[in-house]
Parts: sequence; C-alpha cells; structure tokens
Amino acid sequence: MSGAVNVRRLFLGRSVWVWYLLLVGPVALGAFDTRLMTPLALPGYVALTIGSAFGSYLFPTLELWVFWGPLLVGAYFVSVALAAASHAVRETFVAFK
Amino acid sequence: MRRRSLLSKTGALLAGGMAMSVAGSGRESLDPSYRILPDTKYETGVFVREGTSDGPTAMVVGGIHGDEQCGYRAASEIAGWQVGRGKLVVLPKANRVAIRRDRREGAHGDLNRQFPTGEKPETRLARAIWGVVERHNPDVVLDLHRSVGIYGYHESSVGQMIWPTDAGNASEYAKRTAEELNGNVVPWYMPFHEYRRGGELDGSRPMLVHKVAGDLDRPGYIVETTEFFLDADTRVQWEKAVATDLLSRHGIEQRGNR
Ligand SMILES: [Zn+2]
Repeated sequence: MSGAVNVRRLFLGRSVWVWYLLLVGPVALGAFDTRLMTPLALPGYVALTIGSAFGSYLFPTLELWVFWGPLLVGAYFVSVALAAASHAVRETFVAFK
Repeated sequence: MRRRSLLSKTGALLAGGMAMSVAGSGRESLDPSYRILPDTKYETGVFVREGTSDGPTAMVVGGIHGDEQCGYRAASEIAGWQVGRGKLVVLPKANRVAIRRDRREGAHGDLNRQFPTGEKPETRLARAIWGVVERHNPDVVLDLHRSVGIYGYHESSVGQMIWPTDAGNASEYAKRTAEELNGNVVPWYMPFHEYRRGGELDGSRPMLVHKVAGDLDRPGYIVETTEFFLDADTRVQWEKAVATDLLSRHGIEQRGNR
C-alpha cells in the first residue's frame, strides 16, 4: 500500500463519511423538523449551540443560521479524527487475533 | 405537513356542515367579537370567550411584533377556545401592519415601546390596545413573542424565557410553568431549550406587560420562544403550551380539557 493511498483513505475514506453522517445527519434532521430530533443529535446540537454562542458574541450582527457553516466544516475534521481512531482500534484487535 | 392536512380537513368539515363566514381568507374561519380601529390599516379583531360560570378574566396578546409568527399563530389558536369559566379575551394580531410586512416594526416603529407607565400610550394603535385592556380589566395578561436565540448564550437574545410581572403570584407561576414545560414538552436532549423564568418586570420600561405591572399592579407575562433550532410548527406548539399552562394557573381552561 502506498503512502498516497493511505493519506487519501485518512481524509476521504468511507469511514470518514460514515462518521460525518453520524455526526451531522441527526442534528440536521432535528433542525429540519423538531419531531425528528433524537438523542443521537446531541453532539451536533451541543456543538452548534455552544459554537453559535461564541460566534454571536464575536459577530453579533450575523444571523445564527450562519454558524451551521463552522459546524459542517468542524464535523469533517472530527470525523477524520474519529475514523483514524476507530481504524487504530480495529488494527489493535486484529493484532491480538 | 400534518398541520396542513388537519387544517384542510377542518376546513372541509366547516364548509360542508355550515355556511362559513367569508370575511377572512380561509384560515380565518372565526369571527372576532369586535374590532379595534375599524376601517383603518390597523383594523384587527378581539375575541371574547365567556365561560358558563363566573371567574377571572385573562387577556392574551400576539403579533405585537409582526415577524414573530409563533406568537400570533398560538394566540390565533387560543382565540378559538371555549372556556369553562371566567372570561378569555384574545387579541391575536395586535399589529396588522407589521404582520402584513412580516417585520418587527409597523408604521410607527416598535409597538412594544409605546406603553409608558403612568402616561397615555404613545400611538393610536397602542392606545387602542390599552383600551382593550381597560375595557375588560383583566386579572392577568399574556404577551406572546418569539426570540432569535437562547438567553445567556446568544448575544442579546431572550429565548425560552417567561418574564413575570412583580405582582401577585406571577413569579411563582412562571417558575412552575417553566418546570412543567421542561418536564413534559422540551425533550431532555435539548437542554439549552429549557424554559426559564426571567427577572420580574415592573413599570420601568414602556412595554405592554410592564405597563400592566406599573399601572395595574397585576400578573402579566412575556413569553419568548426561540427560533433557534426549532421549526415553525414546534415553536407554535411550545408557545401555546406555555400560554395554556399559565392560563390554567390563573383559572382559565379550555372547555373539555382535563
Ligand atoms: Zn417580540
């Protein structure tokens, strides 16, 4: 396996997008229709509320929906980290087999 | 979506069962008891619902700010109630001009800054609204609003708050209503959206409920439900749930409820 493939998998691999969907999907559904809000949305909900709180303090003239932007971008980097971590965990288990 | 189909069903029932009043535009199938400022651009209906037995009088106001849909939609639903006892007076769309424009302000600025304590309200519309208060002499006044964010988190936002006047049991009731909502309506996994009681209002600012405190020394509440993260129908439901709970604490209940 070449390094380039590894880098691509690290940043764009399937598990990155699975994590991304897990993080963003529930919170987006909950915001679209509150009846679809579930505990699964909690991480995104907390991040959005706290993030927009700082955002509105720094940029009081902006509307709050603007802070979905940083959330969507931030969730990507969290997904990369989670994918790498879960990959490392899996490798460890394989090593013990 | 669910709401819409329910509305159209109700509409069909009404149309089939009786001659519907054609005064309003579909949505407005109810006739007000009377109108203030008739034949002006401010013309708006007042709904008076009297129970079968004596009891307290409550007044509910919505639409003071024209872009705060959940306030006037919740008030419009409450305007259709039948009450068991007492009297319910509802002014669901206080500022028609602002509502038509979907803006906070109407023709003469922010309506909720035109009610100074100890003086006549500053504009014709504000005087007409205060006229409704004086005519019915309510024991409690609810003013339904929508806020942008969450109090204490988002800059200058007053979301999910119930502000009581410094009169009677208002403060205690506001606290209990917030607890009731947080226990039964707001999901536990939306902790930032819990309702809280605001500080007590007195006559120090020229708002409607402040004037209720300053001039009448009666219980009154400003209810603020946030648009942050809540869809439009949910805002209406939560706002209505707050109003329903507060009204019942003051002895006004929808007939057939409970
Ligand atoms: Zn308002």
